[in-house]
Order: sequence, then C-alpha cells, then structure tokens
Amino acid sequence: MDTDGGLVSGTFLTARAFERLYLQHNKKVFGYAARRVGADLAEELTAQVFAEAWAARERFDRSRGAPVVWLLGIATNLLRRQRRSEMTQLRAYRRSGVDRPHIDEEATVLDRVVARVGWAQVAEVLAELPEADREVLTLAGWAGLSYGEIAVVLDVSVGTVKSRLSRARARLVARVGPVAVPGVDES
Amino acid sequence: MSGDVFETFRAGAATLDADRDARIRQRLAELTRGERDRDGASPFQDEPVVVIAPVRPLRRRRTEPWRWVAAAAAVVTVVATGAVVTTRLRPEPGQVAAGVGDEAVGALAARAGARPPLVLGPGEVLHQRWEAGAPAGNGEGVVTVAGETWLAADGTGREVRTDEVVTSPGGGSQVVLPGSDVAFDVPASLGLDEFGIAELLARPADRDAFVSGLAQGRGHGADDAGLQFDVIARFLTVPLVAPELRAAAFHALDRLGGAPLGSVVDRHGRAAVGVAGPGVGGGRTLVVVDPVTTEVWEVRTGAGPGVPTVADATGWRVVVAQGVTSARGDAPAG
Repeated sequence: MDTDGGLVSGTFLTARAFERLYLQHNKKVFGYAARRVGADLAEELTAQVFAEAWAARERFDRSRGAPVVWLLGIATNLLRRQRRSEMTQLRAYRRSGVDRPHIDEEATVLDRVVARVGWAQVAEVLAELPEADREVLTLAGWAGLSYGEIAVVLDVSVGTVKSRLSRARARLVARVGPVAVPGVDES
Repeated sequence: MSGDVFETFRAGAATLDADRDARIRQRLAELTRGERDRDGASPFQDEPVVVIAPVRPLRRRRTEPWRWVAAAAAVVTVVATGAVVTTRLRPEPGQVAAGVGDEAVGALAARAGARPPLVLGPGEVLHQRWEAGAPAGNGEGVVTVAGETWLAADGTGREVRTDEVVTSPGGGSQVVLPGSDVAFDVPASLGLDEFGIAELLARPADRDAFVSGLAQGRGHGADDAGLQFDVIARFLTVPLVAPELRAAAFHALDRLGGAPLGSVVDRHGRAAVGVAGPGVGGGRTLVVVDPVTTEVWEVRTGAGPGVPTVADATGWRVVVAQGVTSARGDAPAG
C-alpha cells in the first residue's frame, strides 16, 4: 500500500509504484523490443526488463536519466543476448522482401523510413551494421532517445554516440535516401 | 528457417493489446514473486494485501466520533458528540501571498519537537483524505489521484484510491490505473519508500537510525538534495510520526537549503507558511506548513527555478483533511 506511490518523487520502490512505472512505459519498452526481435519474443523480453528493473529498483539513479531511459538500457542489454534471433529475422526479411507487420505503437522515425522504402531495405541495412551502430540507430530511430540518453543507455560518451549514429545513418542514407532523426540529428 | 520466423512475425499482431499485456503482467508476477517490497508485495500480486472490495468511488460517512488533528487545532480535539469539524477552505487556491510571518525553518523544527505526540487510543486510527498529481509518463498531461488512508499505530490500516487519470493538454482524460480499496495487515510504507513511516512506528529501534540518518544526510537519494527534500517533506505529511522525528525532518529540510517564504495558501486556499527548497530534477519544491501544529498540508513540486504555484506545479500531494477515528472506513463529512 502506498499513498502516492512515488507519484511525486518518481521513485518506485513499492510494488504499487512499480506497477505505475510499468503502466507508463510498457508500450515504449515493448514497442522497441518488438521492432527489433518481433512481438512474441518482445513479450517475454518486456517482462524480463521490468523484472530486472524491479530487482534493481533501489539502484536506480535518477541523476542518470528518466526511468524510461533506464528501462531501455536494460532492454538493450537483454537484446544483446538475442542477437542471433535478431540477425536471423533481419536476414530473413532482407532476402524475402516481405514487409514486417505493422507495429501499432506510436510511429517512429525508422517506421516512417520503413513505410517509404519498405522493410526489406531497412532490414538489410540493419543486418549489415555492426551491433554497436545498430543499437544507436534503433535507440534513436525507434525509441526516440536523444544523444545524451543513448549515451546513458549504452554507457558510452555522447561523442561515441554521435559518431556511431553518423556512421549508421550514412549507411541508411546510402541505401534509402535522406533520413532525419528529429531531436538527435536535425539535418 | 526463415519461414518460421516470418510466421512468428506475421501471426502475432505487434501491438501491446490487452492479451499481450495480461501475459506480460502474469510473467512479470512469476519472475518477481520472490522479490518483495517492504510491504511484502511484489508487482501485480495482491499478497499479502487483502482486497476488501472492488473499485468504488470515495464515499464519506459520519458515523463515528471524530477527533481532528489538522487545520489550526493547537491540540487534538475530541468531537464526542458526533458532530464533524471540517477544515474551512478559502476560495482562491494556490496563490502565494506576500512574505509575512517569516520564520526560520529551524524554528519550525523546534516547535515540531515541542508538540505533544499524537497518541492513538485503543482501536483508533489516523484518517487522511488526500490528493496527488504528477506529470504523465509520456511527458504530456498530468496524472491525478485522490484517496483516503486509515493508519493504526502499529502500521496496519486501509487505503481507498480513486482511479488514476491522465488528463492531456487538450482536455481528454484516460484511466491509467484503476481505483482500489485495500487493507494492509502488515506495516506499510505509505508510499514514502525511502523511510517507511509505518515501519518506524512498529520498530522503535529504527527511529534512532532514522534520526541519525537525517542528521548525517544519509538515505536514499542522499546525493540528490531535491529528492531528499521532497521525500522528507512528504514524510512530514503524516502526523503520527513522533515529535523528535518531525523535528529531525525539519532540521533536514533546513540543512538541504529550505528557506522560509512567509505566508502562503495551499492548493485548497488554507492559510499557512511556506518553505521552499530544491526540487527533483533541478526544479523547486514548496512545502506548505501549518504554523501552529507544524503539520505539512501540501508538498508541491515544479520544474522551473521559481517557487511552484498551483498553475505551474508539475506535482503535488495535499492532505485535504485528517483526523482520528475509531473505525477503518469512516471519514468526515463536508
């Protein structure tokens, strides 16, 4: 039981407050994971993200960013363990040219690129990218994080984020044409 | 190989619909079953909290004697006749008045420490009617919730909450968390996650550690003055806390940079004095204090550099009324 469950302070050390955290961010975490590894695997992964967050709730450091950034950081770590699944799916899409099913969460920058050029081309670029670059591109393009937030998620410097995103974007642009990532890359 | 992958992708709608959400919650409950909070609960599991009734709107009754500890009462007043005393609310809420009645935060600490403790008699519980608000998780709109809490001296009690509603800037609203009516038969944290008032009530040994921690700036968020200030201010919204703990909490607000504002009115227009201090995330926090009882009526947070007003507050918790009653379910009328 809690009277405001961290509503004011943003803490979520009680189960009730944590349920609120889940309700606020479940779509964001699921949407990001589903875009990378598919909805079914994302379902399990979303549960694991929040389970890990619950276990580590006392270590959440507000000074390092909003809770959603922290959650996406956990998701990114878990997704690294699913690299084989992700690559298998990306290559399959690339070869077949079949479009990925629409992901009915809020449209993201990369979703709009997919809508314009088709999923197969985007999947091909993503499959070819080094994992570190793919993480930056998807965190910017699908999760909508800023340079600073991505740096927190990946525990790298902002400069590293910029260089990785620049490299990834160049690969994407070479394949599909101009791509802007608002909030991260205004060009 | 690829065919199976496609089937997986194409068969499942990649939407977090109700079915998927339910499965995720169920899985999350499984994964977290062994990891409980200080109330003995884990996410999306009710144990050991006992659900008394399904969601229902708040309803106030006046069936029991009511003893007020709030407002301007200098001492606890027993309303033996059954008549209900209500806090008079002024009509223009939230305006910060000119600075009169300035008083050092340390003076509030001294006064809090000198107050007689609120002692509950056998079967009595502290009742609070409260409201709270915070920014919506997506950064657009505000989440509001109201509730009533009945808290016994041993930390057990009951809480009724309304639906938690997000109101968007455009005026639309959506329920994000259903209301509830729960009893808790173990000391609960009252949402003050870092300190756990009920646990302090139940375990005297923790009180010394708490006072010591406040004096030394320890505890969750110790490296974040705004978070500490906010949490300690909310700690002061529960008058069951012993006078020496309340005094320690005011001293902690002082140490964290709390500055007297003079006369203010709270969200419901009640005249009080204000203490402004650092806020979560770099903003400012306003603590609205009854100058007589030193009870904290409202903790208001803002994102900007100025003292938050009702209009620009990004979060708040206000104790609308409080008192002592003899049953876990009674509340004052009016």
